[in-house]
Parts: sequence; C-alpha cells; structure tokens
Amino acid sequence: MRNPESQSAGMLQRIRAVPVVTIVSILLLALLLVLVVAPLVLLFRTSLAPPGELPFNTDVYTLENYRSALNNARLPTLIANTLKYAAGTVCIGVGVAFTIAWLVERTDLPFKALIRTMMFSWMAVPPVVMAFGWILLGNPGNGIFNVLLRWLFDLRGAVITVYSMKAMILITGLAIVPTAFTMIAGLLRNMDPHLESAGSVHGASGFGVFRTVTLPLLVPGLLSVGILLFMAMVQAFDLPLVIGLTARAPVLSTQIFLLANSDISRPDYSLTATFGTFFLLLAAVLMLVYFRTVRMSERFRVVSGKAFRPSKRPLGGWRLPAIGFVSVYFLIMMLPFLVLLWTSFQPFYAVPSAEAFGRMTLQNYADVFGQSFIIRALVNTIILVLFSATIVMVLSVMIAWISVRSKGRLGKALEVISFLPIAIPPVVLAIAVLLIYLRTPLYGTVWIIVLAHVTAYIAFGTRTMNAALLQIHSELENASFVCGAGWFTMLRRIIFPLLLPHILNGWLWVAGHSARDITFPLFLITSSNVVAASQLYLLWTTPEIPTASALAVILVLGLLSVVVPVQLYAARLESGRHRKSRASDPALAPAE
Amino acid sequence: MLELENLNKTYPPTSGRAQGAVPEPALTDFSLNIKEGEFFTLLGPSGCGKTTTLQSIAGLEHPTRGRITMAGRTVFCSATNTIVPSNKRKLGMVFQSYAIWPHMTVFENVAFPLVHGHGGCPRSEVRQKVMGALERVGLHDFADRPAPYLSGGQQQRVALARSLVNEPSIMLLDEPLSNLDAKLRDAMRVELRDLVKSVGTTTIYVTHDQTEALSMSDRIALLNKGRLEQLGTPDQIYNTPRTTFAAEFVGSSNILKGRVVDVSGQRCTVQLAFGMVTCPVTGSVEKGQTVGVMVRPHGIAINPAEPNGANCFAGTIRQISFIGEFLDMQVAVGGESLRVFVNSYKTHRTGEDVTVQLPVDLCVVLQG
Repeated sequence: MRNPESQSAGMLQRIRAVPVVTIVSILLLALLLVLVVAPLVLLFRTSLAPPGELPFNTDVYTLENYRSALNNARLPTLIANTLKYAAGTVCIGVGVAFTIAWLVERTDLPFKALIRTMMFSWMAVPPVVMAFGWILLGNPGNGIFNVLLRWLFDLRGAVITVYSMKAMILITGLAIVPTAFTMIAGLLRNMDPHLESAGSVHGASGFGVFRTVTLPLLVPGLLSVGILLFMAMVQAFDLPLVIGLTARAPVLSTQIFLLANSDISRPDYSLTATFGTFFLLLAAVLMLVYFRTVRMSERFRVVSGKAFRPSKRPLGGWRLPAIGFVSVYFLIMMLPFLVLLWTSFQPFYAVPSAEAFGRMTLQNYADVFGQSFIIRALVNTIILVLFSATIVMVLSVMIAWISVRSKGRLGKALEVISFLPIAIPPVVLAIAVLLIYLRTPLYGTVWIIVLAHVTAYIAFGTRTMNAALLQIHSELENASFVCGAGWFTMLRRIIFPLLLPHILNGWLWVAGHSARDITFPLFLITSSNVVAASQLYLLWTTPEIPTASALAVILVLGLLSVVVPVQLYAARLESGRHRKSRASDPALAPAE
Repeated sequence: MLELENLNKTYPPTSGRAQGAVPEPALTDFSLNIKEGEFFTLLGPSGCGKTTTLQSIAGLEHPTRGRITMAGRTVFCSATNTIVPSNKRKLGMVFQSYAIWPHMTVFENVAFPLVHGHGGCPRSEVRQKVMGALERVGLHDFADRPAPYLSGGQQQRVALARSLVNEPSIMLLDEPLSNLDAKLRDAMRVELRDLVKSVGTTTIYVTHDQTEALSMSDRIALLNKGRLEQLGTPDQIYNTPRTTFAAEFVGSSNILKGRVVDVSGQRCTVQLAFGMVTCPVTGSVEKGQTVGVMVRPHGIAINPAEPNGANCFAGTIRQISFIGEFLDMQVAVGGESLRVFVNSYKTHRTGEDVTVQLPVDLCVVLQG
C-alpha cells in the first residue's frame, strides 16, 4: 500500500501530466459545490434560525423550528398521506407497466414500435396538463363523466370526483406508466432467454417457467424500479398541488409550498426550511434502501453484453384481450388531452354537445398569441429548455468521463456530488435555491430557473452518460491520446460523436422535464420569469380555463414536435450503428 | 533508444470485496534497454506486467517509481516528477481491440494523427500521406469506407496504418493478433513483421503467445509476476531457458527433478529418480545442488542407434495420441512419465518396451 507521501506525490505527478483534465475536474467540482452543496448548507442554517428570520439577518442558532414542526399535530398525517400516495401510485404504475412491457417485449403483440414511440412521446405531456384534463372530466360539478352518468342513470349530485386521495392515486399511477414501462422493458429485453429455455428443456411448463425462472430473476430489478419510482412519487409536487389541495389531501411537498407561499401571512422561511430538512432526511433514507436493493439485484444480474433475440411467446387466443388492454390504456391517457383540446376551441368550458359545437372558436389561440405576457412566457420557456438541457448534457459528459476513466479521488468526488441531487426533493431544492439567490440579481430572471434545473437534472445526466460511457472501450480514447490529441480534442472528436444517440436522448429527457416542471417556476416566480408551465397554472387558477387549455395544447404540441423527431433520429442513429457493428463482426464479415 | 530504469508499479487497492488487501506489485525493479530499430517483444502470461510496461511507455499509466527515456529525452521520472503526457510522446500504437473509431471512415481514422497530432502536418500533405500509409497496408481502395464495415483483419491494417502514418519514433503493439482467427493470424504474423521492419521503427510488441514472440522478435523479454525472468534472442529463450518458469512457459517440456552429483568442466552429472544423466553446464552449477533437468519432448530419441549410449534408459509406452504432424506419447521410465514427440510415420503401440535417450546437448539444467 502506498504511504500518504507517495500518494500526494502521485497527485503532483498527475497535475503535471494531465493538466487539462485536472483543471477541468477542479472547476467542475467547484461548480457542483456551488450548485448542489451550498444551497443545502444554507437550507440547514435557515432551519436553525429563529422563527421567521432569514439566515443573513441573524447569527442565532436555535432548535425552535424543529420543536414547532415536531409538535405540529398534522405532521403524522402529512407523512402518512405522502407514503400512502407514493405506495398507491407505484403499485398501479408498475403493475400496468409490467403487463404492457411483458406483452411488448416477450410476446407477438402487434404494433410494438408504435407502442414504444407513444410511451416515449408521453414524456411531452406535462402532469399538470393531465391533471387539468382530469379535472374537466371528473370534477363533481360539471365534469363530463358526472354529466354523462347523471343523464344515463338519472342520478343526482357528484357521482364520482377527482378531488379525492383515491382518484389522485389512480391518475398519478396511470401517469407514471410510461416511465416505468421504459425501465421495465429494458429489464425484460436484457434478460438472457437461455435461462428460460433451460427451464423448459428440463421439463417446466410455460407458466411454470414464468413462475420459477422469469419472475424470481426479475424481482430484484423490479424492486429497484419500484423503489426508484417510490422515491420520485414521495417527492412529487404537481398533481398533489393541482388535485390534492382541493381534495384536502396535503402531502409533504405541497405543505412546504403552502408554508413558503402563504396568502395570509408573510412566508415563514425558517419553518419551511425545517420541513425541507425532514423531507430531505426521508428522501435520504429511501435512497439508502434503493442502493441496498440495487446491490442485491447486481448479484442476480443476468444481463450479458451479447445482443440476443429474446424468445417471443405467441399470444394465441389472448391476442384480442391483450390488444384491448393496451388500447384502453392509451385511450384513458388520451382522454384528458382530448377534453383540453375541445375546451381550447370553446369560449367557456362546456360539456360537448351539438350546441357547444356551434360555438367553436379560435379566439383562445388568438388570446394566447396576442398577450405580451404569454408571449414572454413562451420565449422564457424556450430559453429555459434549450439552455438547461444543453448545459446539463455538456457538464454530464465531462463529469461522467472524469468519474468513469480517472482513478483519482477527484473523479470519485465528482461522481458522488453529481449524484446527490437525486436524493433532494425538488421542493426542498427550490426553497434552498430561493434562499441563496434571493438577494442576487439572478433572482427574478429566467436564469435562476435554468440554474435550478441544471442542479436538479445533473444527476440524471451523469448517470445516463456514465452508463453509456462504460460501453465504450477506453482504448478508443487512448488511441486518440497516443495519436497526439489533447483532452478536449478527444472529447470533441471521439466521445461526443460516439455518444451522440445517448446524448440526444438525455437532452430530450432533460428538455421535456424542464418544460413540464412547475415546481421551480412556481417557487421562484416573479412577474418577469414566468414560463409556460407556471403561466398555465396561473391562468388555470385565475380561472381562465379556455385560455389555459389553449396554452396547454400549444405546450404539448410544441414538445411533441421536438421530442418525436429527435427521438426517432436518435433511435435510427443507434440502430444504424448496431447494424454496422454487427457487420464488423469477423465471423459475419465477408472473407478477405 | 528506449530505456526503462527500475520501473516499479503498484496499483492502488481496489475498493470492494478485497478491501484492505495489499495488491501484488505489477512491476518490480524492471529495467530494459531497447536498441534503435529493434523488434522487441514483452512475453509473459496474463498479469505478468507486460501490459503495464507498455502502458507506461505509452504514458497511459504511470509507474510508481522509475525512469523512462526515449531517444535521450526523459518522458517519465519519479524522482524529478517529470511526466510527458501521452499525446506529446510521438508514438504509434496498435491496440488489442484495434480501437478503430466507428464513427469515422478509414481515411478519417488514419488522418487523425496528422490532423490532431504532433508535428503539424500541412493540410495539403495529409491526403498524400494517408494514401501512402493505406497503400503500405494494402487498403488504398478502402479509404472512404466507414470503419465499421471492415473485417477484423482489415481493421487491424487500418490500426497499423494509423500508427505508422505520422512516422513515430517508437511503435507499440498490444497483442494485435489476439483477436484474429487462427489462419489469418499466421498470415498476419509474417506480414506485420515485414511491414514494421521495412519502416524501420523501433517496435515494442506485447504478447502472451510464444509462437508470435519466437517467430517475430529480434529479442524477447520474458516476464513473470512483474519481474524480468529472462532476456534474450528467441533462440536463447527457447533452447536454453534459465528457469523452470521459462522452460514451462515457452514450448512443451519435460522437467525432471534431481541432484547434482558431479561437475567436471563443461559437463555435469545429475542424479534423477530413474538414473544418472549427463548435461552441459550452463551458469553456475554446484555439487549437491537440487536442480531441474529440462528436455523438450521432440528432443528425446526413441530406440536410438546405440542403445547403450549416454543417457539411455529403458521405458514403456503408456499412451499415444495421434496429433497428425507427430505422435504425442507418454513413456514411463522408472517412476517418471516422459512426454515424447515422434515422427507420425513411425509405428508404435501402447505397452511397447522402448529405449529412450535424452541427448546430452539437448538437456538443460534449470536454476530454480
């Protein structure tokens, strides 16, 4: 083992040997510390400030806030609600997603490509938009479902309502299916079919193989997907805000929002920070559970690097029911969007009828494009999406390269810090960002949201780039060094082109999430940095339902027009590479 | 030309399962002096430190201690903290996986060192130089082909062209033939050596394949567990291995344990389990020393013309495998079993009693 002296000597050597990489790593580390660690430190400091004070104005440390938060009679209800909401949505989401993923990956279900594209494109539909659609469909007063049911069965009052915990769980559960589908489909696709063949060769029946081989092999993977989604749902903010507040089902994230944006008194930042700290602890515990599970599932890893074609089971008589199930799911997902589309052409919200059909108008769209504040929101959104996605991906590629390839401590530190934000609930990060930049010129501009989004999504970016980079043979990079290229030339000429499909997909993910997010825009809102998502929320609560609907339609269509073509292009790029690399397999190549 | 002085390398302990365990050093006091224009091979089993040595020369890995000098220029020295980064060392390298960039054409791959590397080749000359290099490896018709549409052998030629194009002072070849199928490997072995020799660059070749090492090199360094086991020409390495490891790693061998009973001039007598053998003296042999006597399976004569000559013993054939080019036989002599290769046109059968002779000049006394 090396003694500390020779280790510091090793550090010195490295600094002289590869100055560029080391300088870049130090800069990145400093940037991450400012982006990720500083807000959290300030958050913690604020939670220790006297009630109602900001940390800049005081040097007193007190546990007063913790006392009042723990004595708060609603805290157990809040935590119970949060856990119930997360558990319910994950059960529904994973259940439906597993069924569809299994049908798509392991059976001869038709229209596989269409289903995959639709699942991915769903990312373009912001959860708030879905929630608004569901409210129009299922609100207790003039929701379409209620009107229809009353008319059909001659009932009175609210037959069903979206304003309940159960409805909220169901809606969110269906909304996370696409995300869960992507992850579970990956699990199923990478499973070596030989393991199943071995089961049936040795005498197990079709269902027996599923029960004794397939399922046990998948359990660790499914468990880690479940916990990851559970974590995301504990942190979820948008649907609990739009539906949960009216339903009187507050969760931790909405409670923090209410504390920070109280209508009756000035915001109590120190108590907010205290709740944020609790929330952070809960998320950190879940994170540890997640890592445990992942480590466990690593042991069961049946993913081999080889490309293989999993066996497809013929559906036979189940073909029609399976197609029916998938179609019903997509129909349910389309409904909220369709009702918004309908409303966007109406002067006021009305249940579809021949009479209402006659009132169709384009006035709402004219309103959207005619009002300067909405135009500004749209411009802000474009800036936000382009910059946050691009900055995240550029930083991610560099951080990932350093943490994957360099064996030093800097790389390790970068990897850990860039991963931290996964455990920080967006509301907590939003409060922390608000506290730290409140007194800077950045506050009130769209750039503070860009900054917050970069912080929030850097973990996703580095993780996907890490995974992608591991598939690239390091000799490809070493070859360029030996050929005389420097580090940046290597990144530009070798890494970026090779990772392009992954970078595009990651860019899309960040862009989509940046556009649909309402957490940061709402927490950091001023009159000058409204973006489309926050504008949508403002219009909805005003309420200007038809204008909001029109804006929602524009937002969704705008996102779709970016997501679908870029995704198709990235997929083609990647499959092209795969085909080519197969052609280069010496066994398949034509003899010389 | 290239000097390695007392290289030592210890990899940092890997975190995880074997946490806290002190790893074996990858290189221990390893020194070499390679001459200008030489085809030099680092040979050894996996984990012997040959790749670490090559990576250290390339600057992709840095020794813990030691000094590396290239043509009088110190590129690495732990004492003065000198590290010349890889891209400033003016090297050419062929990687084990060829490392052909799949997103570029053949031309772009080969042009890379000229465009981005040292020397600053003027744009107008790039095309001419790239085509010249491709001509050398016989791929001038493939210049515009995307790199993934090449067979293994073609990729290897592109890698060669890329490493030659900028006229490096030293060429590094990291097991370049290990990914080719057997037939192609035989053909490429000759071609590769001829090509490198015609360019005249100093070449360091890393392999674990003794056939490649023996047939291609001017000199071979045999490595074992991070130490230099033996240095010499292919002929020296094969015919007079110094140690048991060298004898076992290069070629097939019979190694018989024994004790030296007499040393006289150029000959010594060793007492084996089944009798006395006379061997030539190599290095220092002392009376009473425990040694191994090595004789190659094809060196042993069966039923020699003089059945009572030196080193002749009676034995019984226990087993015969027909290999095609020769018969691989196990012959029991006393309590020992000898492996003997004989011409496959001879007829032998199992159980046959034979006389085996270990010719004096073909016996080698091994040190340890």
